[in-house]
Amino acid sequence: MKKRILSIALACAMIVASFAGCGGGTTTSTDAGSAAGSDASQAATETKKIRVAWWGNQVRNDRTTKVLKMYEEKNPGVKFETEFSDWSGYWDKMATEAAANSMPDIIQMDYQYIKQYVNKKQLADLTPYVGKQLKLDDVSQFSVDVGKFNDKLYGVSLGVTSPAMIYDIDSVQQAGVTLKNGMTMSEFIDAAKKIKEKTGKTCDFVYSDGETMMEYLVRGQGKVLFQDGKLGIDSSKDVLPFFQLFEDGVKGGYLTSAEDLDASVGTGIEQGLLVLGKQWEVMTTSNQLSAYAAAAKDKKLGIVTWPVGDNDTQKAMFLKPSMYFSVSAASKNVEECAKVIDFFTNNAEAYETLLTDRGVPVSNKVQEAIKPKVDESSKQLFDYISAIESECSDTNPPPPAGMTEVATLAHNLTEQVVYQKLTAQQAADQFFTQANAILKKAAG
Amino acid sequence: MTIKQKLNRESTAGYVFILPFIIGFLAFTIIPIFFSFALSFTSYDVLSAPKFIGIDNYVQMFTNDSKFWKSMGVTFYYALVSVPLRLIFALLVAMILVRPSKASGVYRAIYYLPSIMGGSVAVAVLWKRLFASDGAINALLQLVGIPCKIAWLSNTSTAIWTLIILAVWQFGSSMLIFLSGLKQIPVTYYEAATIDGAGKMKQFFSITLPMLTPVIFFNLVMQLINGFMAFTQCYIITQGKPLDSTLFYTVYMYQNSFQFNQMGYGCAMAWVMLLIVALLTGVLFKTSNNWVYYASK
Repeated sequence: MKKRILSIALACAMIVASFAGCGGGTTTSTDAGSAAGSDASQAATETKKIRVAWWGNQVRNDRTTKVLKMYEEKNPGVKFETEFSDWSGYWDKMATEAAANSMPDIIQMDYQYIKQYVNKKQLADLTPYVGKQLKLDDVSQFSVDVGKFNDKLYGVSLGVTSPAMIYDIDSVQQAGVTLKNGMTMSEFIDAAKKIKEKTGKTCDFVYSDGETMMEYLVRGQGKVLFQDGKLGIDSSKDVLPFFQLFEDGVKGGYLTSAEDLDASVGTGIEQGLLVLGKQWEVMTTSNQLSAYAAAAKDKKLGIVTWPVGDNDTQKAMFLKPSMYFSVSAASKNVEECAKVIDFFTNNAEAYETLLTDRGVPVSNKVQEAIKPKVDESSKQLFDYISAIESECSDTNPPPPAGMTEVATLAHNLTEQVVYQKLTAQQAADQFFTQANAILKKAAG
Repeated sequence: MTIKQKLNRESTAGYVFILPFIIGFLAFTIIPIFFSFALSFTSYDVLSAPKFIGIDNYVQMFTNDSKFWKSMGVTFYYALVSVPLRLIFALLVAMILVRPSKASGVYRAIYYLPSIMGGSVAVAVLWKRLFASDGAINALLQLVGIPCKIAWLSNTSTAIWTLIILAVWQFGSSMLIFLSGLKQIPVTYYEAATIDGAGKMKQFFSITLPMLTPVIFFNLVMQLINGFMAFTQCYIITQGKPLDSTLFYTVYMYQNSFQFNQMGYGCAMAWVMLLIVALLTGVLFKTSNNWVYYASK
């Protein structure tokens, strides 16, 4: 009989033990004795545990971690927990964590997604901290405004970026062509043909994320691709030029092969086609330059704008926040988070480590302070952004719900054009009907 | 019966011991299953509260989603081809390894290895490299004089086969079950057959196979269920490419749930798959009376 009671007791102990791992508080106490006896009366200080999440590449991962360490050293009592992943995995994870009400305290946000998260009340309003913990006096009006929704501040831009084509200077010189900011698409294609002929290297028009190029070309026509519940264009005619780029590229042989394009989707910059030497250019955003420079050490890289449509009526280029830091509405340490974001905004020392991986720093003071100290690729980026500012028009409003599905649709259709299963016209027609349907459903 | 007596019963101790499992099973399996059933009748974008929309998700799926049908077709093809192939392969290896020899233990361990690793992300990444156009498979083919430049993963007719081969390669667990099945067949049957003059082939089809049918049946059911639930291979290696020719049902479900923020639709898809697998298993059980031979009957 004693044995049975004992066994029940053991079983209970086991249950308790197995569930002990599930809990876990957000604050723990540490011994303050080590903090050189200034406040000896206080036995313990609260440790603030702050979770920070971002997407990106290895370069960003290393630099951000280093800067967070710097902050920890300056602010004893703050302890960071970091979550890092690639772009697509990141958003799957954020959505799940948001649903479970367990989002990290500080979240790297993107222009595409911020509106959704604001509308769903997942982000904390930072307005009360502005001017106190979070100083934005040196930040350009543009960079402050892009974080505001309904007059409240939901995100602080971490850098300015814009569409940019990063290219291998040697291949371009070998073919004897020159590239310049604001060149037209037909000028670009002529150059691409020559480069293919001379070097065998090919080009791409953002195959993996075609929606960005499509939106860019539509902008050149003075239209906005995404509106709430529908496309902002009247017919498939406006997206035809986008699919035409791929159809012509396959026929002309200057587009990277379908097989290589497919293999490159989802791989990082380090395994990308430019770094591997299969492609002579990549159309991306300007802040990626430093990551490309780090990954392709054997190459000299240049940077120019994306080519613009031949008959553009409006400046298609634009500046946008490369990414934000936002704070979760569920965070218990919003004030401390605001301080961390301030560190990432105004601390020149931090930027000596961060450099321009997230684009050109938003604070003018930081820009001035680090300009003499930055590496070659960051210098290139500074020059690029100041050179194109006049080429830009206002950025599009953040896209509505359903955008991810539309982007996938655009990619699937591009894939079919590249595999020559669809003509550009068919793809454009299908895109127009299906994208409208998706947006309508998502808004409803 | 007093409380003390109740507590003292042997079954009480037993229940308490399995309580951790039961709680876990309820919290992480049963409750989510029913929750997903409820969600399948809603439009739920994960970030805001679900909205009840009746059977709209199911209607949309069957009438207005060509990708749903495409992924269903791919999954059926994958499961119905890879599972029989894997079982045949497992049986072959088991037949070879069943012969007693000094090293058979080592061989069994080695052949079981792929089963343990095969479902992992690491192996999936490895597979992707193997079948790349500049990967090991093409290099090997060139080495033996076949000039091969096929892009296995970018060709609609070969891409699915790289996944099927990966599945067949993970034959270990079926093999072990076959091994134990083979050992249970009484040697006297074979002795009698040899005396009667039956050849090896005849013995295989008249003794081995019929005696193994319960094991085959078990393996078939288990592997088929696994086949329909395959996810990692597609997600890591092909992402459904090219042209959705390798888009597994589970991956499309994942895309809907987590990437397109249509959790309700994803849940509905999960339930359709559950019904299909249940139906298939039911049919297998029904037909089993006709081909599975139980010695005890």
